[in-house]
Amino acid sequence: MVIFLLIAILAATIGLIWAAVVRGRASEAFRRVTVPANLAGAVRDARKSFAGRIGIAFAASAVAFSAMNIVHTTIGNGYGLTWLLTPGLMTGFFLVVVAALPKVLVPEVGAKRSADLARRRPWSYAPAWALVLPAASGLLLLAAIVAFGVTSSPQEDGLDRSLTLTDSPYSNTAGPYPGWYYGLPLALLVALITIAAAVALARVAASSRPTDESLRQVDRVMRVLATRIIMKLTSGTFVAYLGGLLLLGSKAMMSASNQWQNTVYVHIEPWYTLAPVGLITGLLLLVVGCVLLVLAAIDALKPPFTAGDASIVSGRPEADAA
Amino acid sequence: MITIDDADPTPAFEQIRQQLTDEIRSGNLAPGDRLPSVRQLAGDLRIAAGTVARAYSALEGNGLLESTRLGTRVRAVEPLPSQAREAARRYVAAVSGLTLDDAILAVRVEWAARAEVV
Repeated sequence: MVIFLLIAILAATIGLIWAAVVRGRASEAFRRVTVPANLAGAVRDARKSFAGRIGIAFAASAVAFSAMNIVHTTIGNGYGLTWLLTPGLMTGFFLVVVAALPKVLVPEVGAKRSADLARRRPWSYAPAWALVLPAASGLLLLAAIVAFGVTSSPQEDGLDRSLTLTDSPYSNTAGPYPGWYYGLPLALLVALITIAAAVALARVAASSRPTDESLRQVDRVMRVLATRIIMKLTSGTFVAYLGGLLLLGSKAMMSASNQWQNTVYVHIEPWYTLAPVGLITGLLLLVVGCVLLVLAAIDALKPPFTAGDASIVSGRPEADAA
Repeated sequence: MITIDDADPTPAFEQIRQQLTDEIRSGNLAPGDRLPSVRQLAGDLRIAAGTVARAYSALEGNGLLESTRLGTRVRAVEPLPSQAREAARRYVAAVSGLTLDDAILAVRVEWAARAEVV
């Protein structure tokens, strides 16, 4: 019942935000960019190249999922560890492919080539807050991993994946708890995703610009879009992980802090108070994380160009970034 | 903006050097402005990185650029006098029917004639 409720809340939130984004785009976030007819072929090629790049990255994510599924069925799930790491590995594979694919976004045309003298940086294609979001969510996730790790206790098999609360002479143990057993591999994954995202952003910014000035705006729109996908995917993964850890940890807190002591239940504070707060926060963060992932998917699946002989439709680069 | 023209017999590195010199001396690039990395500019112009590096190196030798670990920056140089730019603007407006080469040729001839008088 609770699961169905959570799924309903999740679906409703995603549906609402999706509708809001679609409505916002239809009204003001889109504008028409005219491309000369002789460049329509180059723009079409660029669009195909972008879609292909994203498609290959999705395929790499699917490979990661399949590989983890094979590990899960042949070796075992390690008390859920393989499933915990699967979404992060899928994100990591996606980012690595985006970083590795060709450097030229828009094919060159003409023999007279020009370049501007502005330095392109990873933060040239997104507002500052969009860069802060993945960094802040990554740091919060690491802080949560440390906090849960420090408070965890070993199970009988010696793995730190439970929470033991003591109210002498009584003690209560509950699990699964996101202790070091889950936290250390997850911290490693956070580091890998961060590096992959940084490299992908740097590659998007550093790739060569079109040699024809009239394609500059198309090029900028594509860079903004690629940057947005990377930002939302990274932030969404981190925030969803944070929400998941809080849910898992709070559930264990709730069980362990409600102790049966001979004749009565005793609530161990502050754990008993923290548990529902953690549950609600975790649920909200999970929803936010999923929404960010859905928004990244929308950006990835909806190229900025519509079919046309000499014109394209694109997001507004400066105002709509990230 | 830097433009490379394959039809121009001038070597690519010289085209870059000349255009950057013009940008710096005219004040379009201010002292302290950072230039794009060698790799970025070479990639955008579809030329070898060594060509851009050679142009940057020549400009460093001329005292127009300086390279640090953070990148290449424009050095403080004496800009073209504003009255010279103003006179050039009037001259360009007056000879609108000429090509750039012919306009420069006219200046060169008059410059040489003035030198002989002096």
